[in-house]
This record gives sequence, structure tokens and C-alpha cells, in this order.
Amino acid sequence: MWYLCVFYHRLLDFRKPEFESLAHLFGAFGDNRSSHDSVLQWRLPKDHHPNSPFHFVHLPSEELARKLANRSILVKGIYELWGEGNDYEELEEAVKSYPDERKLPYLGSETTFKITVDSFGKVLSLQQQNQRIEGLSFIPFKGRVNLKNPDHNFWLMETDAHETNNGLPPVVQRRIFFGREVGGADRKFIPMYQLKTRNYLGPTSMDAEMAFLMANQAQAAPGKLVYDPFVGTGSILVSAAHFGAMTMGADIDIRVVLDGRGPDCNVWSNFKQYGLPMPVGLLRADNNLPPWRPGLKEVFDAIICDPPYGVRAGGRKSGGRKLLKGIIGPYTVPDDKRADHIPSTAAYTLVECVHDLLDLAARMLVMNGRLVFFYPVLREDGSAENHFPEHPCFKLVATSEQMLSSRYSRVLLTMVKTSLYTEELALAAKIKHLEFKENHLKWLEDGTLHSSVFSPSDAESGDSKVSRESKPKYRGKYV
Amino acid sequence: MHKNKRLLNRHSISLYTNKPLPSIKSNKEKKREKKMRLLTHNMLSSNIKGVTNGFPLRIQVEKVVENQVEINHDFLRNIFPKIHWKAFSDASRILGYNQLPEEPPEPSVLESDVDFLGKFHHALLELHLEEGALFCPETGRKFPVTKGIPNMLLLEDEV
Repeated sequence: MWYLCVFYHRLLDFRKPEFESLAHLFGAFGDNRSSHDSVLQWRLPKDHHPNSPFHFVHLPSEELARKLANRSILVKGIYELWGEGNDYEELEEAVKSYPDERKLPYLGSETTFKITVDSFGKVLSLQQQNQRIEGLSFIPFKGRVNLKNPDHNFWLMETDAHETNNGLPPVVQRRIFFGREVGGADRKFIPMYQLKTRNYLGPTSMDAEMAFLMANQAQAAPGKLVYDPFVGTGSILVSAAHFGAMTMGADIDIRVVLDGRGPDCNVWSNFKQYGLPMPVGLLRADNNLPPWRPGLKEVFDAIICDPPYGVRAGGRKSGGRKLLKGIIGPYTVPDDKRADHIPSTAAYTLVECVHDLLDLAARMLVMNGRLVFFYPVLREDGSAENHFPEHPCFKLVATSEQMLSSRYSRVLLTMVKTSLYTEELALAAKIKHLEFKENHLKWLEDGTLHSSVFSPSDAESGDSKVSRESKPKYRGKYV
Repeated sequence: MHKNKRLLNRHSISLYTNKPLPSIKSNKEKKREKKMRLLTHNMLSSNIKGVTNGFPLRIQVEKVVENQVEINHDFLRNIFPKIHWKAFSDASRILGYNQLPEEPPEPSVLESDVDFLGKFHHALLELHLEEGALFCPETGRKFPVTKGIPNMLLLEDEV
């Protein structure tokens, strides 16, 4: 059956991928877990731009629609549409011709109801809202009104045509929708988790809303084990734990995982703060040389992370500068100093980091498990789609871009493990690992993202204007 | 670029230090913090260059704590087939828990034997190594476990 799905008008690129991940989690494509090729059918209201908050979506059942809406972060509501039109006459016509057997069960005298008037892109005064509700008197409501806890919620939603905005086409045309609410997002818990109330924070803690979106992309759920190899302050795992998953994290920085900022201000306390189950394990380890036992594979149901891209925080790996530069011969630590020796670390380029991440995920994820991570792209590149990392075990199912500055964006990549990790793949990864190690300096010289993001803009501003105009345009700062 | 870099550094420093240090907690509260569990031990090995048999890591116990954790049957069923049983039951005995069979039980017991499920749950998630160390079985290299967090980072010459 077709439903009207209304999204919040934010993080536009993330809305459909989140919806589809959750549809998959709740079994919209049957119990067959390998149905990653199945996609939902979507349809737009007439003349609406794909950025419109209004979409029609085909879902197998109302039960699924309710579950999905309640779990989602970006779905404002899913509605059974009773009618739509360009003006109120058309709407009345449409609602009247909607079959009675779909309407009457929700209009009975023993039920309670509420009508909400909502508008997109304009504000309606209370008086105007009441006027519009009275205009619905052609619908035979028999039940009593209950504004606090009604059995059935009805929504009247109105949009006006918009002018072009910042060179972008208008997102909506004038349209009026009337429908019965099937389910709506509960965003009340997001303020509870917002970072400003979080006990232990670092410079790259993940924003709460984004962390929940990542957990939804990863289909975090009770009984699953979720791993974050760059755990930091645990901000991503907190969201996975909120959805009932068991969590495990690692970080190379001992200060973060071990001490935090005191006995009540560390990764553990962030979980305690929200009454969530503690991670089943936290360890200090290097993503470049993960300490997993040989033969261990397919343990994690999802890996979610925000790898260090070298802009706000740079990656580190073990080995140390001296060894890798080869300036002072083979590096050895004297026996009497070994116990308290603090190993130096070497810079860890994004390319190598992502290679290691994909290899680890290919080995450690269960079949159909999900790898969800942010990948930075320079906005000058334009054709970013072609540059996303690839791996023979994975199928890329979703990409969602979030603009960070005029120079660069980060793209949330969602990958599904579709083939087994073979001996050949393990061998190829090992060869690549050594290649990275031997050519460490070359990789470092190949320009880091940091310099591209922070270098002053070109003095010869002649062509910089051109490049600014060729950049894709965005709607609003959250987009 | 130089200026930007400096600004960036100052920013991160202020983020790390602008909060007052929290007061020291009482011992009683401290106990609620979670420590290294046998699930983690079961997954780790020594990955020093040249080591071929880095698993299982030998456990040295200084302090073990037991914390009640809510039992999650789905998770236990999910994780059971991935556990290296011999290493797991040996490790549980080192932590002072003698209720697990030495031989790996049939997966069917997870469905039928509530008693076993409870024991498995207890050993896997409720026993915590708070202080101690893990030792590489081949080289004897010590990986310290402090406040429940195993430090698996290698020295420069072990990479």
C-alpha cells in the first residue's frame, strides 16, 4: 500500500537511505537477509523537487510503517493519505471519493481523535488553523475530540509554491494533503543525548543526531555486536547501545580509553550517564595492526566509525617515525627501558586507514553485516561518486553527503558485506599493508586533506570564482 | 596555513581542559565500572612481528571483580558459535570460576539448558579482569591490563 511519508527538512541526503535501511531491518523485503538489491518504490507529489519533504512510499504493511516511523530520526510522520488537492475543493472531492471502508473504522462514535494543521514553508495563525479544521466538516467524524491522547491522529498539511532560492529550483508546489497518522518519529530522546550535556567530550565527538543516523544505517538492534575501531569518547557506540546493540571499541590513544578526564568522566561514564549497558570491551589497539586472534572472523554485526581524516584529528599508527623514515637503523628499545617505554607513533594517512578498515571489516563482519563510516571529499572534485573506496567483499548501498565547509564535505558510506573473505583477499591485503609501510614517506607527501582544507585561498583569484560557481549548491546549512 | 594550524591546536586544548576535574568517587561507586571480560580475551592475540602462535594470551590476575549484567539471550546465541571454547573455559578457571565444561557443549544446549545459559553469561560478561596482564604465549611479552583496558599497542621494534 502507498503511504505519504513526510520528512523533516534537514540532512536531505540522509533521509531515504535511513528509511531504506530501517525498512530492510524490519523485514520490508521478507526475511531474506540478502535482499540488498531490493529497493522501495518511491513517488513524488506532482511537480515536487526530490528535496521536497513530501514523498509517497510503497510499504507492505501498516505495522511496518509504524515501526519504521517510530525508530527513524528523520521521518516526521507516515500517513494513510485520504485525499490531496491543489485547493480545498479538490481536497474535499478527493476525501469524499476515498473508499468508506478505509475511512469509517476510524470515525466511529466510540473513538477519540485529533486534527493537526501543519504547513511547510509558511506559518498559519491559530485562527487560520481553526478555519481549516472547520472546513473539514464534510468528513463524518462521530468520535470525541481528545487533544492529549487520541486514538486517531489526522493531519492536514498545506504547502505553497515557492520562489527559486539561491539558484535552486523550488522544492514544493502548492498542495494540500489530508491523512491519518500511522506513526511518527520520537525525536524527544535526541536532546537528552545532545553533546552539550555529555559528560566526556573530545574535539571529534559525533553529534548525537548524526550518531543515531549512523546506528540506523548500520541496523543496530538487540542481540547484535557493534564495533568502533576509532572509539574516542564513545559517541557513536552510545547511539548503537541506545538501540539495544552490544558494543565494543578500540582506540590507539591510551589517554582517551583509559583515563578520560577522571574517574567519572570517561567512555564508561558516557554510557552510565544514559543508563545504557557498558561496552562489552574497550581496548587500546592499532587499526593498522589489529590484535585479533588468527582464525577469528565474522564476529561483528556492524562496524560504525568516523575515521581520522587528518583535518580535525590526524590518524596515528604504531611503528614510530624513526623506524619508518629509516634514518636511524633498525630501532630497538633497551631491555631495561621496555616496561615503561611509551612507543612513538607514525602518521596514518587516510588512504591506508581506509584500506585497513575495509580489510578488517571484510574479515570481521558477518555476512550481510554493515560497515558504516564517514569519508571526506574535497568539494572541488565534483565527480566524488567515482572516488569512493571499494572492496570485493562489499556492496555500497548508500551515500549521504554532509557539507562541512566550502572546501570539503563528508559522505556517510553504507556498505554491506556480500561475499566471503577469502585467503586470496587476505594475502592481497597483506601485500598492500607492506607496500604502505615501505612507502610511508611517499604517502605522507602526497598531500593531506588538512592542507587542502586550510591552505589560504588562491591569491590569483581569477579562477577561484569559477571554481566556486562550479561547486554543487546546497540547501540550508544542515544539508 | 601556519596560522590556521595554531588556531586549531588551541581549540582542541581548550576542549580538553575547560571542564573542572570531577571529584574522586567513593570506592563503592567505582566498582560499577566495567572491566576486561573474557569475551575480549577470547578475541585477542599477540600480533608481534614473527609470532605465529599468539593465542590464547596467558592471563595474570591481580584483581577480578564480578558485576551483574542483564542477560541477553539473543546476544548469547549470536556470540556462542564464535567463541574459542577451550581458551574460554581455561580462562574462566584462571579467574576462579569452575562451572564451565572443558569440552565445547552442543549448540542445542543454548535452547534447552537455562542453567548453562546463565553460567555462560556469567563467565562471558560478568567476570571482569580489573588489574593484571596478558602474556604472549610464544615470547612472554607482557600486555598490561589497567582499569580493565588491555593495552595491545606494540613497541617500535615489534611492528
